[in-house]
Amino acid sequence: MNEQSLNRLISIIMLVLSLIILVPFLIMLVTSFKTMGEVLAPNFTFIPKQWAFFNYIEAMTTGNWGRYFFNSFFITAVAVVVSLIINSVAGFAFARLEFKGRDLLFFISLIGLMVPQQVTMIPVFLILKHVPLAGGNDLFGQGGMGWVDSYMGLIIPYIAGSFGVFLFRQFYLNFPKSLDDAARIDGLTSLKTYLYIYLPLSKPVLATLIVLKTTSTWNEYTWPLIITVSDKMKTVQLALTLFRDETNVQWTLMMAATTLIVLPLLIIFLTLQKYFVEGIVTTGIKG
Amino acid sequence: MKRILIGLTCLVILVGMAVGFNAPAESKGPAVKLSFWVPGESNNWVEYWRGAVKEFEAANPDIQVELTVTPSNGQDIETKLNAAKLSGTYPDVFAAYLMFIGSRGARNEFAGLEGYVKKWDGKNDLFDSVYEMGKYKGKLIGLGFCPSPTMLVYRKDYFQEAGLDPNKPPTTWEELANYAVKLTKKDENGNVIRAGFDLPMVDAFTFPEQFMRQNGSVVIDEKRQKPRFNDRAAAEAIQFLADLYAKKVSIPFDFQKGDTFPFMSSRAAMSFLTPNQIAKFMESNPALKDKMAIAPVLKRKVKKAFAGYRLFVIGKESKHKNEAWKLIQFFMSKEQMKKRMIDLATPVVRKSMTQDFIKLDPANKTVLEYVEFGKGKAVVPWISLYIKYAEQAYEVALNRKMTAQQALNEAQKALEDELKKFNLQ
Repeated sequence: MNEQSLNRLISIIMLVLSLIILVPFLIMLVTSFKTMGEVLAPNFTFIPKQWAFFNYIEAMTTGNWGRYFFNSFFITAVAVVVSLIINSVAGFAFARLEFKGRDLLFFISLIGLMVPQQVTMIPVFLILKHVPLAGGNDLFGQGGMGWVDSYMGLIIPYIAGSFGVFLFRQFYLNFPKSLDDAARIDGLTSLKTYLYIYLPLSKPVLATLIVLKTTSTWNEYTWPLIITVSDKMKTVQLALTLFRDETNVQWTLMMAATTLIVLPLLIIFLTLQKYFVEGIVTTGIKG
Repeated sequence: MKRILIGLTCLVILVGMAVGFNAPAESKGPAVKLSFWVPGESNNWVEYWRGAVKEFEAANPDIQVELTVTPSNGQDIETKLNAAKLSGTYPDVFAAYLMFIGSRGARNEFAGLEGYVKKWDGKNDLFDSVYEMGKYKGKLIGLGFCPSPTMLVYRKDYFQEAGLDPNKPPTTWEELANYAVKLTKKDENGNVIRAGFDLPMVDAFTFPEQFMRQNGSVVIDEKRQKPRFNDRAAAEAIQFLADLYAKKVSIPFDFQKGDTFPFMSSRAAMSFLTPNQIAKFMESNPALKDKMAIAPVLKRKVKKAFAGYRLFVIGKESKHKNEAWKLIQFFMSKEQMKKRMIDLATPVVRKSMTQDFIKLDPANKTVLEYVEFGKGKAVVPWISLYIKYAEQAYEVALNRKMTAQQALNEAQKALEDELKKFNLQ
């Protein structure tokens, strides 16, 4: 088998695998256009007999979806922007700056990767509930709700994250030391070196983190579940529970809403795909 | 360009901070704020709760009710309750599932209601089950408001097709088994294409439990808080179901996934459904309204059915227990019950309203029979462990890996060992 034939075979295999991965998405899409009767029919049909476009209208009028989407967009946007700043600066410091206790600090930050979210959830919840002077609290963090059921409560836990720090550090370690030396000769401070040299070269890793952070924040379910109380603070993932009760799921509406929820992620991924792949390669992160 | 980007970034952060600090602080308003949690149900239920809360607030201007619709999944509710308990934000009033009476009642999370009920005019008008279901170790901590019986429904048209009288549904186990065989349709290879009876394959503990009770088993001794599901009566019941399953009268399905029941897609002639499932079935198949009927409660040694319940509870740590009771009283009033009866097809729990419920639909007489003879999940703190082992035993017996008696003996022993291990016995 020559190289061309081998490449063709690999391409065919990759194409088949891609199609297999796409099947659940296609089923989601076609289910969103079916009637409930057709979903529950004994014989499965892939293409809807009647295209029920009204599922989308019904799904979006069940609950305050405008508000849910705004909440998710706002939380995700702020969390992604702030975490990019914090993670890139921290990653730069750990990779390029010499200071006492650097490796120890980095190791401590990595512990965050080893502790499951479920372990820290309740302590974080308690800290946020007792934030002084927030949500009716006094100076000692007592008497009110703190940041429970607020945007701050939904955003703050997402903006830190050892994974992002680790990712940036790995990326910045690949740069030659001569780059720092040149910057120093030109009279740049560490901050300016970061801003004028490293940050403009960080597109791949920034794109990678934007995609990963956006996906994880947008899709987060458990944290919004416990931190929100009122309907007006619900995120899109929480709102999906509107379509299920104890034993039944309104599949058609659920799939219609899910299709709309997936769209922003799809757009972001397609926009940043080129940089994302580059970032994965250059930082050595394997899926 | 860079400056604009940096400026925009800072702006986003500042707006975020500003909005964040704008958390729902205690502002000047009504004297009392009640938090009220309800598990998510159909949209009609959510609309009902919202409307009822508004009505209550209008009638009680000094009380504001903050309604939280939680997800319906029990585990999600547990997560929310745990966080609320640790942070002191436990709801004042909660529309709890029956399982929470045992699991949370054991942790003393709900306030006693005896004192309030004693002084209440409406107390003698309620069914006994309203109180019985809400007791943990004899102490009243919940008030049932929404029974959810699992009822035997059947398709009249399939009965006629099989030469059976559509007005004579099965009333005994033997009839159920005979009818199931007659109603089953198979293809030339012997594969079931239409089940005679929906026999669940997995997640089915509430399903066999009603048969166990009909045969005289107590399943769980709630007074002594001991499992008792390996007696002969229970084993006979499970064996009956296993033998029926062996006759290939059903299409396997998951009992916890209400919309996957073969009956829901017209692939079964008989099934056990909740009122909620029946409503969904009718919604999807309006043409079948006259072709479906409810059979009376099956009888073996005794008449028993499985009936879940939703109950109102008051958080033990609530600072507004009197106002919380006021809200519960409002929901238990005749007017609100009538609304739920008409708009949501909820069975009534007031004796004085039974005739109104039957007038609404003659089939409701049978529904009330299920409520009357219904028994829900046992009120014990280890109910989830029992479910795990009871389901295992049922599945093992159904798959003919052991006799029903052996499977139940093993399951009960494993449960007892686990209870000892965690000092729950």
